[in-house]
Amino acid sequence: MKILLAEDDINISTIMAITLEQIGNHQVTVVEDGLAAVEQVQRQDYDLIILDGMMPKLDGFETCRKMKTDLHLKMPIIFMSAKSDESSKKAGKDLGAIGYIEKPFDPNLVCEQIEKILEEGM
Amino acid sequence: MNSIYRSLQIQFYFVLCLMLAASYFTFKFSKEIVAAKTNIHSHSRLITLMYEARTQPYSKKISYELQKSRAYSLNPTRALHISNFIQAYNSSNRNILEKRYQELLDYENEYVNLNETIIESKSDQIFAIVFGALLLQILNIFLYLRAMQKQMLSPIEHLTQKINDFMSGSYSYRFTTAPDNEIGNLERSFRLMAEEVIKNMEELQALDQAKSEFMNIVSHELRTPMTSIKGSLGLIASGKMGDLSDKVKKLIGIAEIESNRLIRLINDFLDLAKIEAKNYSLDRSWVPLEKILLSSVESLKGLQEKANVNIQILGYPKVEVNVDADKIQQVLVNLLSNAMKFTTEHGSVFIQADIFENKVYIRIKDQGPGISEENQQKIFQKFRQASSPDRPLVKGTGLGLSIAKALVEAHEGKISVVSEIGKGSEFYFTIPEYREEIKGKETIAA
Repeated sequence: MKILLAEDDINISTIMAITLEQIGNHQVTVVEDGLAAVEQVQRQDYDLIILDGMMPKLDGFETCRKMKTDLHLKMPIIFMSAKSDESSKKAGKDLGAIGYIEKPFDPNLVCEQIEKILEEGM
Repeated sequence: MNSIYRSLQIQFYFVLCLMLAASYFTFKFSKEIVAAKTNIHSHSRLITLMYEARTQPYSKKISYELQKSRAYSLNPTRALHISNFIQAYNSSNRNILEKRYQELLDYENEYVNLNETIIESKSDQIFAIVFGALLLQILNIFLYLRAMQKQMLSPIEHLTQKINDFMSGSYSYRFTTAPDNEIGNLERSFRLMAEEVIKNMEELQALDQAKSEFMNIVSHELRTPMTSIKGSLGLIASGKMGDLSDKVKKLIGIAEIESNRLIRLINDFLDLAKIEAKNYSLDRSWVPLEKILLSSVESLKGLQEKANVNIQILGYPKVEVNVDADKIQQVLVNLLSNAMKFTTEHGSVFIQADIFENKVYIRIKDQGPGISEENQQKIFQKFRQASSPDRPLVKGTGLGLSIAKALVEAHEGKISVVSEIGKGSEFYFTIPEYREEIKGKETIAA
């Protein structure tokens, strides 16, 4: 899959990118904030967008809203965040995301997790 | 200051003066009545004498008695009339005696009327004074009670109501200006206290809010580096980044285990802070007890296989409980995995539920080493662990039982342990809200 990853922490984005590429055999494009993510999706199509919760300029929720509500993007969005509470997860779903990955994640399991979310979401 | 005490004083003096005045006049008039009665008595005496003097022959005794009468007469006019009569009596002149007799008789009639009038009027006056004083006093009491009602009883009731409103109305209150007396002072003091309380409440709320925000920030700040650490180690351990020597594998393994433990600790810590926060709310619903028990056991399938310890359900009542199912499952999983940790291979952990004293009791029994009595007190405290078992499958965080306790108590239940060294342990907790299972609900297949 072609995956767009929006994450401001360089370490995490590096690890996530390696994980997705090496273990999941996906193609990953990394951006550092929500605004860049919005620009990217308008330039190219992606099979999946993974958004970090807290980012500068435009945070994860705002980015999702922009993509789903303003741009009416069909591409699936998954949130990735350190917040594990129910209200955050619900907020994500309400904005149009199909799933949630909790941080910290197990790199050996996260690709399966993503596949499962995509299956359930379709 | 318009003191209630001062008005009480005034009351007292008023009543005193009233009583003194009434007593004085009653006494005075009584004296006058007695004097009048004495006069009438003396009049009767004189009339008798006069009659004897007129009809009987001259007697020195009668003359003597007449003179006594005159002597006792304080009224000079009366004394004069009596003197004239005595003179006429002594002179033996029939005509003059007759004349003087008539004069004295006329005078005496007037005299007796006068005194009878005095008795009547003074009696009336006494009655009027006493009755009047009584009426005045009744009126006074009535007015005073009304004033007390207004100044004291009503404000006290009012203040009591205000205090009740304050307590029940989320510490809000409205005050009117307080009167300038003892009750007013009470109101003012209460107002000061109420303001203190409100201030403290607001501080506490702000503190609680700050604590919540702090917890969220901390958890985020701790989880972010842990993500990189766990991610890195996981990738290396997967072997996809290159081959690892056995020693390196072992070291990476250790790092993974400990970082996972740290992550569990952060999760538990945040969990506990959330549960203990003032605004913690449960997502309650009526759930079949069976469902929770089976679900908990099912979720530990992997651990049962890995540890070679199995969980047996001995029995449970067919009831529904009003709980947050996820949280109670969390409690069960916590207690069950603890029990499994301390059970040797091929052993069993037993779970059983029953109804006792109107509560649902859920019991988890293990055949482990048991817990000493002094440790039984300690284990529910934060970060206390019993000494590590021989084969630590999963090292605990030390918060598991604290969280279980907080969750059980949030459901108004109790949690405790019965144990003896060498005889295993039974952890149990209660759920007070239950009801018979409602027919028609689907049961989960075992």
